[in-house]
Amino acid sequence: MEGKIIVITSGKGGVGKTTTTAALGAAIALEGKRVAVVDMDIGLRNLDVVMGLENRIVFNVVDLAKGRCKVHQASIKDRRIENLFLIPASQSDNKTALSTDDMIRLCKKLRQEFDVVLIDCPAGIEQGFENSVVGADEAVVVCTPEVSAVRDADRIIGLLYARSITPKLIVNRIVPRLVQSGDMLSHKDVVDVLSIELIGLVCMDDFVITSTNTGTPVVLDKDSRAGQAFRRIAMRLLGNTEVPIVDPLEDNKGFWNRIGSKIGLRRI
Amino acid sequence: MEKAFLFSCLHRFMIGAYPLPLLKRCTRKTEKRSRSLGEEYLPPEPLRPQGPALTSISCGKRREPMVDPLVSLKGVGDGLRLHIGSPLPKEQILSEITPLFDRIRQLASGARITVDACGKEGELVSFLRDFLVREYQVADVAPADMSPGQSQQVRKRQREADRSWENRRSDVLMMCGRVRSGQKIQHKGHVLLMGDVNPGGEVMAGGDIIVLGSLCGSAAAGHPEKNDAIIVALDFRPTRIQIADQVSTGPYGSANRSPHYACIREGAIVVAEYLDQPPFAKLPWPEPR
Repeated sequence: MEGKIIVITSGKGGVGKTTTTAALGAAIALEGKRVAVVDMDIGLRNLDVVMGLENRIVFNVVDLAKGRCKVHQASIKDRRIENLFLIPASQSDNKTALSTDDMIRLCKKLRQEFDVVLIDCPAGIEQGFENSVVGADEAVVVCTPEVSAVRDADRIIGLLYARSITPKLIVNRIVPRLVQSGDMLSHKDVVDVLSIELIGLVCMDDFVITSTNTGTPVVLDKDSRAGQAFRRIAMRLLGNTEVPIVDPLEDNKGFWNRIGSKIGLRRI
Repeated sequence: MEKAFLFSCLHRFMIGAYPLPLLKRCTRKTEKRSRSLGEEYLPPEPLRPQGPALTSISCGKRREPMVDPLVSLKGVGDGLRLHIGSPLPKEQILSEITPLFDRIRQLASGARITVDACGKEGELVSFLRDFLVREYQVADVAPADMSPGQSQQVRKRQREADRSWENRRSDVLMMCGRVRSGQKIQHKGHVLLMGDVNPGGEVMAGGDIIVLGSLCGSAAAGHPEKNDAIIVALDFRPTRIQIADQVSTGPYGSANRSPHYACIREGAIVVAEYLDQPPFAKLPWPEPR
């Protein structure tokens, strides 16, 4: 059976594409699938750092696409999770090092080796984006509840539709406190504007920052709300539609808070 | 071009090369008219080139008045309308209408007659009333309400109102879906969008823009210089609107989350609630736009 290729993109930089890619890769691998995460941000690689594998890199994605190495040589096995592999970006090459034809060939190769391939797309809509999208079967758009991120995500969604890919949406970095006080867009506003299928809501979580710094997967942490959200998203991506989308605004309400909100007392 | 054609006709006429049947018809009609008017029969004058006056002479023009019969009777509403085409002596009117009324004697008794004599009803009405009531027992004879020009105009307008859109080719671009950031709809005529315009999306039209959804991007109607264009949206929150050469940037916040429209009034863009102040409420009847 051929694997499927999912591109993770956003348009705007700094909304959490790389973190999402690492977390979803780990979460899907934990479900028992053979997963490769591919860093396509050529010249500015950082997925290897987020995954804590930067000191093992020998070959990179450009070598693999140009046929200078085999898939098993370029893919780096994760330290903790069994079925997770990283194909790092090249640090020295230029953004134009790969062409779309190279990428189509590469995607064909990767499909045979892995069940799921996650492509970490660079920010912007130039050659790097084209290369990441050209071989993909599905797309996940990461968006934060900010006006600028929504605008860019909207543009990206238009471009993905133009390539007949129907994207799915993850709203990342929701701060429930700010949403409740009206200082941040709620995920409903974001979904209203983008109007694509929502597959997950991830709230701002300190665990993400510490695990990124230490290079450990956030999904292994049982206490991390973001990590648990990523695990649910992974299940949904694998086709398990029964998993509920947990609204972070209601998630941390306890029994008494629920009763309080029912009788009109607001939690501040 | 027309002039040249006319001159060539006249020339043919003069040299006797005009098609015979046409000439014949002309003569006959003129003859009939002269007789009915009780005037002396004048054969058509030979045409001489006489400077500018020549251009106004044509066979077509000569034939025209003969299309209408002099006196006609027509059923209108609950009565009859007597149309007298040109001013005639009373005796002749009587001789013209007698055969008409003889034929509908049954119908005429008790009918209301309206006399339309091209604005010269005057005493004719009382004369006809005396005659028709005495001879045919009609109920009443009244002058037509309006001068023929006026009535014709009203009829024409009514007809236009009823029919004006029948053979009209629409220049509306009708779209559905969502205009996303970076996308642009551009059209020479009106644009009707069943969907939304996201922030960063653009719609540009030569005529009006109607968005059945939320307008959160930018809209330019009446481009480049149609000042009476309007922009309508069910949820009116654009980042920028332009009508002809007027630009407005709002702010149109969430206060406008109801049907609004923008138009130009006194040289500036005005935004108003669509249901409170409908833009076309004062039009007497529907017209195509």
